[in-house]
Amino acid sequence: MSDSEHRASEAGEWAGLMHGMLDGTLDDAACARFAAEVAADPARAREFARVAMLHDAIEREMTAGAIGRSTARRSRWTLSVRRAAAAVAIAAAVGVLAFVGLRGSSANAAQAELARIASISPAGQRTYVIHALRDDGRQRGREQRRAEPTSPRGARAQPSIDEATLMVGASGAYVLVRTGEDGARTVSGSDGRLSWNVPERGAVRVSRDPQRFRGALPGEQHDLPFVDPKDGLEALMRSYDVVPGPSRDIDGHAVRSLVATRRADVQRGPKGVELWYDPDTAVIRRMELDRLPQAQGGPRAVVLELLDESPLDPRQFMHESHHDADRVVITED
Amino acid sequence: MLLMDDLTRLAFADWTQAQPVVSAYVQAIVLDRAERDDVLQDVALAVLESYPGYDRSRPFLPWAMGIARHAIGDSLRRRRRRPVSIAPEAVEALAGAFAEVGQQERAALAHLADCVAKLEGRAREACDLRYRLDLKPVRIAELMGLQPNTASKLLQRVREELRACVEQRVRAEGNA
Repeated sequence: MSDSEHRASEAGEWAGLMHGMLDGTLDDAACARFAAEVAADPARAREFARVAMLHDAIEREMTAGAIGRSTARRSRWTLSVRRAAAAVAIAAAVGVLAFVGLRGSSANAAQAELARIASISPAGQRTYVIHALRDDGRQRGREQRRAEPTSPRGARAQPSIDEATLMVGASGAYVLVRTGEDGARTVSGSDGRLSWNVPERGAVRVSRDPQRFRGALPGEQHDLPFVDPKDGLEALMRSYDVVPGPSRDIDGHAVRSLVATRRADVQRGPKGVELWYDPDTAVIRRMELDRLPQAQGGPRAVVLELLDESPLDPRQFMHESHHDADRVVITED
Repeated sequence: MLLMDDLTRLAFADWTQAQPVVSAYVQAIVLDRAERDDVLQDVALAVLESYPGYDRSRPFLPWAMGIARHAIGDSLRRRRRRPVSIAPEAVEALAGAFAEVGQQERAALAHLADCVAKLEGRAREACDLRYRLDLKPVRIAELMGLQPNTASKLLQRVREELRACVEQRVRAEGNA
């Protein structure tokens, strides 16, 4: 290899390291090589700083839009100032602006598709299994679940959402069955009128508020309800940028996907949502909620997979079906 | 009614100038938008709180970068995340580098909007997925029907083209 070829190869490798660093694709060894380069060579550190500033500026350009392209150009630097200044009192003095992403034609098509499946999404009966995912996207094993606390220290252990079963019926009816590390089963649900919670031991609680025990459902704490598909899909339309994803086959069904990313100005909810649905019936066959807020513990990501579409006995949605007749039942309100 | 005093006004003006550089620095280290925004909030607050002690005869940006460097460390420790994936000496070297090139780059990148507006086809699609939707190259590759390495190379090429476009406009401005 000649000197010039060697230099070109080195420059190419360095460029790959810089861009890989910014895209988060470097492995530990490459990361260490990158760090050694910038620590030892101020010119390379400056070169990276320039690329990183370009990277950050492209993000601002691509996410600016609500206040118009031309205005966004004039104020592209102050756009990001708003993000940080929101934390301080003086933010009020510089005005309130919002980020709403520009939507390209594919995003418009995806929003239209989401509206379509929300409008025809069936209120039929379906059973899903829920899996918690590890950070690398794989399902968590039983050993890992044992090793990871599901509740803050000192709090009573909550049954895990991992491997829970969710049965969804009409008009907000659902049953969620969770099992704790000790094997204790907690069943919560609603018949659409009353909601209830049946722990393994202790009193059964019943409430006239149908929402009362829905907090354990994936997405429920994040304004992304899943029990009523229409509500969930409409929440997605309001707060997420949606693009069409690939198609594939799940259990012999050809399904399409939509990929939703939480908008920059929205605080609550999983950062990403993937829906895999039957384009004809709008039945959601798989739903992935990624990067869930961690403030209250729980998994970083969960997947709901359709198990069964067989009709369910309406009595399944009543608490009496899930406990012995001699259990104490407390009606809360 | 709360009134903004002169010192707060000066602090905000300085921070507005420095913030894009600090943002790029924090993002380059933490590699996560939500965490970057959290750290930036911490830095903004620390800058405002410490501003009365800031020596205004010295440049503001290196001072703010020092605060950002500490905020990154504090944030990662508080959130019990794994240690910064790059060595502390590299984090420090980068703070100096960003402070050195920051203001000049900021001026040059004023031309970026026109260059981004010219993106078309797969280049625009890749940029949209990477920057607006914050997807990683592996996911972009799935959505665009590419190999992951091809998606990474496509993004790298788009950035290099945008850089060339910006530099061309800076030169044209200089000649004019």
